[in-house]
Amino acid sequence: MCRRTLLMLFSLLTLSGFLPVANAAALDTAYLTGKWEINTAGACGKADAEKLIVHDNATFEYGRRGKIESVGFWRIKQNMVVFEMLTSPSYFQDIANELKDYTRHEVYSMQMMPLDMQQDQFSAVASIDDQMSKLVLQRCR
Amino acid sequence: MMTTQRPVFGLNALPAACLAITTTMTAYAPMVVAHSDGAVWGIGGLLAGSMLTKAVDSKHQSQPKQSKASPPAPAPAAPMTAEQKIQQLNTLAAGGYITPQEYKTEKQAILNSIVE
Repeated sequence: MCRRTLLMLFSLLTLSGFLPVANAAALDTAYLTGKWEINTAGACGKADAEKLIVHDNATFEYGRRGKIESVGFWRIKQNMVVFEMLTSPSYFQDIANELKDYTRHEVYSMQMMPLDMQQDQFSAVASIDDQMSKLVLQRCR
Repeated sequence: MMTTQRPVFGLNALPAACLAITTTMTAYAPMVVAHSDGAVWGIGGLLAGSMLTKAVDSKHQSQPKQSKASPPAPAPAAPMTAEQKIQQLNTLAAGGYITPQEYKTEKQAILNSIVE
């Protein structure tokens, strides 16, 4: 009975993404390089999607609604990807109006831990300073 | 025949466990994630949340600090007695701050003030 309950709990946690499962892809430059769309439920090509374009020369671009809002460098650190991002708070005033007056550019560091890596999709836990969020990235051509 | 009752952590405990996990995950949710049109920004939400935190912090730091109440003025010192003056003179002489001649003159002045 106890064994069955444990198995059920493990399956539940695994399905809900709280436990890592055996990755179908390895975390390396070849895997990460490409165009990724974020939290689009598997769909590609939405005009207002968040896009992360990862280049094989350790640079990347991030943008929303077709506009690049951040550029920088990325690197793999153990089982995480670290993004050093140059951006301006004023670009995000549509999310928080208080940011409209902060027009200078600043560097932010984002740590992203990929989970459940599939050929063209992975979920990840990402954090910047004290902010943390779960993302789903879809590879798009 | 007695049966021992042992605690069972089976399916009955699952709702509580799920609630605990959900609560924990919610605590780590970014400060700002949703756009007014309903779109949820992943990295954008993280960035905006972090920027907002920094902006609020810098605003707090740049605000002029409340002026502290000035400390009460020290009570006026009581006039020194002749004895205290001579002790002070002795200290100055012992430290080499005044010459023997100055010591002699000042001490005489103190003694004269007592007589007057």
